[in-house]
Amino acid sequence: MNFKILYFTTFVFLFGSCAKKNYLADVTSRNYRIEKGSYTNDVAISDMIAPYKEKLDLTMNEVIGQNTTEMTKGKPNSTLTNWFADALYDEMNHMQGVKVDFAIQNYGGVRVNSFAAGNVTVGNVYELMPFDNTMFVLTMKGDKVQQLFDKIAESNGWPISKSVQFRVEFGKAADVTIHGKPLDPAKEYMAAIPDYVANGGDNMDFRRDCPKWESQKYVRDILINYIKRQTSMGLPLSADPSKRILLSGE
Amino acid sequence: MISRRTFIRQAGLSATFLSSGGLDLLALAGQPEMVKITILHTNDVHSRVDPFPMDGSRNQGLGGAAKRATLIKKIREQEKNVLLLDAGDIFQGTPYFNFYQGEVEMKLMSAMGYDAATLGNHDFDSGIEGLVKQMPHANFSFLNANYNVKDTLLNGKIKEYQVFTKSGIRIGVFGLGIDPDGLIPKTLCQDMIYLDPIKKAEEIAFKLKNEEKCDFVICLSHLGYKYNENKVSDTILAAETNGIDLIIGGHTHTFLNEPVQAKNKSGKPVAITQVGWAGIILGRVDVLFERNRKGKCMICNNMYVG
Repeated sequence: MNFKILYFTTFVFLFGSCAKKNYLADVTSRNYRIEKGSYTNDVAISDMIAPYKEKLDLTMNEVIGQNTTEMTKGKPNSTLTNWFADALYDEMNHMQGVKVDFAIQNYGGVRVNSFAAGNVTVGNVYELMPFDNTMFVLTMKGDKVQQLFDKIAESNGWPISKSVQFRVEFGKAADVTIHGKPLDPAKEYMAAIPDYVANGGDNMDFRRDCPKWESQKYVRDILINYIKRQTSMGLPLSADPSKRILLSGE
Repeated sequence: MISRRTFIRQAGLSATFLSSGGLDLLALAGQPEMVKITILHTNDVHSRVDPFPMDGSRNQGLGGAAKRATLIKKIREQEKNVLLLDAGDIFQGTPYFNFYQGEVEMKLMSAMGYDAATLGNHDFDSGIEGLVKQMPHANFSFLNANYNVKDTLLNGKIKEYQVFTKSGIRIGVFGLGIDPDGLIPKTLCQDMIYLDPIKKAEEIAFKLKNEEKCDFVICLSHLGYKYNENKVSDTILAAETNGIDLIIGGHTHTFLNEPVQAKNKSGKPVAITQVGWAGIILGRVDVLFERNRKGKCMICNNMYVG
């Protein structure tokens, strides 16, 4: 065997002028939908999850209430967003020494599109409201409330309690009423608002200067307490399709 | 349940053709060496460790890490060159996050063999401190090029980009994050500085193509697919930059059945994809390369030759 030739050939192969080049020839794609019956569970992964899940399930599987009909999320109003805001409104007003005129929740904070009928577990509420946001009560002059509702109108509606009604006209809130009375720009209103929004989240930065009281209670825990209180009174959750935010012409 | 389509097919040969009747023809032409890179991707998994519960809701039974792991394993058995990527919002959405602060998500992604992920706005939900605390559980890279984190605890923990070499093909991957203003409370992202994603993308993509000699450039983006207003998005990113071949997006939870074909600043093709959220779908993009010493591509699709 001639090692010189082998060496030379290898040299040319590795460093020769005709080095391999890569050319992008084609791109194809495919989506795999992961359905219940589609794939088996990977045992190693299931085993990794198991100890975490076990501990979690103890808390999450507790049934705290009953829901009569499926509630769904939508804009400008929907059964789920209505229920969410009304529950916050009711429960905040149930707190010792707290009196709010309305409650809101940012639309993006409602994390499920539907809330099923049947048993309501702690886990269901976590899925609905996973964020560790707390509730603030802001003291707002009527003109600030108008600005808030304008922002809500601009984004085609957020969860808002039944104490409020307005119409979206040209992206602004028109004919605003609170407790059935026209909004008074000079009057002070008490608003229950999640800290995320009160701190300027979702571009709500104009209300940082309003006097605020921090409940130090998670929005989620307020919902859980509300459901438990309803259950203790023998009441199931029920959907309220009433319109708080009307569209132009309605 | 499966959508498959060669989305760039003009004048080109599909992978199916290559692996069947095309071989004889190619043998005559000197049979170029073909290398397939399989890119698997998720986005906005949002702590969806278990499948959605069987409670009659819309997504019941869908998703789940243990099922996704089986699927990924199966694909790895069939394909040699697999890249597994995530476009952010790993955290938040199920009690797993509230209870374990992201430890489970990081461990599972590591076990599944994720190569890299970018950061979504919700990955800051327990603050930079909370995120950094979970990073030791991750054996994959965190990529972001437009968050300046040098004055935060994240300093040195994220990279602008990473190059993966598979069978002689160099794949450059970089990350882009959304403007945190009004989205991530200042208390959570502290002294992190947001940089213009378009400018940063141009710079990194240029570097990847020219200095790092990448054959393919992927942007993991958490900007969002498209907005009604003029806010920067994947569609704007695609149109206003050069050098990106594929944008794997997130944030808007957009379900695209297949990548959308866009054109970049120079009119070259860019594919934009996003697979909804919660790990309901695993996306797959196969990129086929021809390797030869002829100085030109023998079977290339005209659209991708530039």
